[in-house]
Amino acid sequence: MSEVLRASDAGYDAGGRRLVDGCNLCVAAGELVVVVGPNGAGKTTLLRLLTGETRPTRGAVFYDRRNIESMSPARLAAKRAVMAQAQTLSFPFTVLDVVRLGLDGVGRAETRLQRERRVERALCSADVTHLAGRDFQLLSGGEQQRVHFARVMAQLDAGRGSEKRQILFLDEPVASLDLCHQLALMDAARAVAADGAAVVAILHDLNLAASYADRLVILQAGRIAAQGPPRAVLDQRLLHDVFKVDLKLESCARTGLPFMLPQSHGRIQPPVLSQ
Amino acid sequence: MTDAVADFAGPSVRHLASQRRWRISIVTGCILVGLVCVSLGSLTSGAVRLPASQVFQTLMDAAFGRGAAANAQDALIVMQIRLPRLVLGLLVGAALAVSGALMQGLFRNPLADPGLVGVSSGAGLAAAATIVLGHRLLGDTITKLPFAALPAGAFLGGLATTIVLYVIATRRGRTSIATMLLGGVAIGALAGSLTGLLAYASDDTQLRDLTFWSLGALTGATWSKIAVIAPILLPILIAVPMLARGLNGLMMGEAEAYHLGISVQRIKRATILLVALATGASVAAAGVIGFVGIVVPHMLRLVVGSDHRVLLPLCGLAGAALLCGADIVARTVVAPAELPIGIVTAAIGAPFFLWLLLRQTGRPIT
Repeated sequence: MSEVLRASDAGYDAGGRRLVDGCNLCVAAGELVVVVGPNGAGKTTLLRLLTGETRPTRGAVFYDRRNIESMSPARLAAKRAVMAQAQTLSFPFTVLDVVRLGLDGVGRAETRLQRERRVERALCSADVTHLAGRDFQLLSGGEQQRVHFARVMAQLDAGRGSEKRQILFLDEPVASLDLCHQLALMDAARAVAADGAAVVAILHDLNLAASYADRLVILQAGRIAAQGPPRAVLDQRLLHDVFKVDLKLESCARTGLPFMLPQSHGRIQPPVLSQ
Repeated sequence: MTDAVADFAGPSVRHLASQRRWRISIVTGCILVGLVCVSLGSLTSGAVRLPASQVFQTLMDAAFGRGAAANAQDALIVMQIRLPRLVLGLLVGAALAVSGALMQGLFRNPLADPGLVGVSSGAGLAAAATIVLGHRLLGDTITKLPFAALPAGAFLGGLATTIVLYVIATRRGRTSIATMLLGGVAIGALAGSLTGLLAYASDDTQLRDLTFWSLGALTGATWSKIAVIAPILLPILIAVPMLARGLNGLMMGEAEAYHLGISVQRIKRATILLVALATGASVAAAGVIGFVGIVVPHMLRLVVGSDHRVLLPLCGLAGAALLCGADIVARTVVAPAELPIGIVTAAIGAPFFLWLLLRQTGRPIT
């Protein structure tokens, strides 16, 4: 297995709290890893460490065995693309402008035609071609999310020339998408992995995670509680211990993948959300 | 597979892109025509009305080194009064508009302006101090200095404010834009109160100087002044487009810009430095002129969009045209006297800005 991304004992402290602690993670080319965990488990913080956005206070992160702290932003941008949680734009940009931003740090020496072609492909991969001329700020949340996905795809596309083994990071990429586009986006992420990239995604929907992940990484209180193929990792005890729910785990008749229905049972200690 | 779909989608993206290029060319053309008209108007109008043909003749004579024997006095008016004033107006207008656009890009806030981070107020305070305290502290030497004392004070004041702010907002090599914004408001208020205190302590003549200067004016433009300002402003205006890609990336936030491959810290530092220099130099040359930095970028964003690669150069051109236009108004409405130009820009700018706000109800401003 060819390792692309490795976190070695990575940890991050802030405000006297250990947000992420001693994470060892290794992702191979062509692998789709899904990080799951309850709110506040440190998923986004871990992703920030992995993308180089924040510097770990302990341990280190490597791309192709090279410490990412020694890589320039431009080099990193060719190597990996990041779709973060909800971003807002402060000025009126068209969808086309936003997607084109993905090419700004990477595909500088390209001709206009090449750039336009990349943008076209990216728009198409996120099913937003029909929105190209629209004002980004006036789109719905789900449409905006798809446009960001298109931007990320454009960045990967532009970086492919110089970096063969790329990494795609997705932080709750389907949070505001309709079911059809959730599946389409995850299919697209799958295809990126099939092309030889490593994909690391944070998801909340365990069913979606189980059906797309090669490997699940369960994060609890800043530590990796378990990792492995969904079939091996996802069980009743884990749901109970980590997610504090008592759901019945079933197995899909066609694929054999685990799934659960929210109405299958009750919660233990339902959190009081009102008053 | 991908190619088949791309072919289907192709014309739409290409069509949009070429439509955009057309629009930008048309807007650029309009601004250039406006710039030429304003320049001509600026050279011909004033206490002595000169026909355009004569101005043109004088310029030609000067350009080709022929002595203008025909009308020495008109030549003097054009070459020593109106032309330097025009050039100063163009430079300062461009610098103000571009600084505004840079600040708005940096702070990701369409309401940002060099005035906001205290650069203008710092420069203003230093200038006020020079006017009011200069004689007491330096005695007669101040009158013997070349034009320098007041503008140099303003320039240093602006630069010092920026450095203080930058130090306040930078922790462990990272500059927090939010802290800088808040610090700027605080320092602006402090500088404002100190300036008020100085006004309180000043005599009548000083107060008049102070008022005139704090509202801005292009009066007293000389070639020697331009010789000091131009070497600062021209390189800045030429360098600014290099920040465009970085600022575009910053529109989505610093983390996102970093992911896109932009050296965020470097872009921030360069932007802050350029704005401090440009604002300091233009305040030094023409006093505090408000609203150009807000109105021009805003107006252009409405017609050409927010792409800084287009926005920044057009801001320079449009700012130059707007300020010179305002200057024509400032010196003709109450001729032979003259209004401070800041009154004109604020009188045009503030209502325009309010109109923009009202128009934008459908869309969030930040």
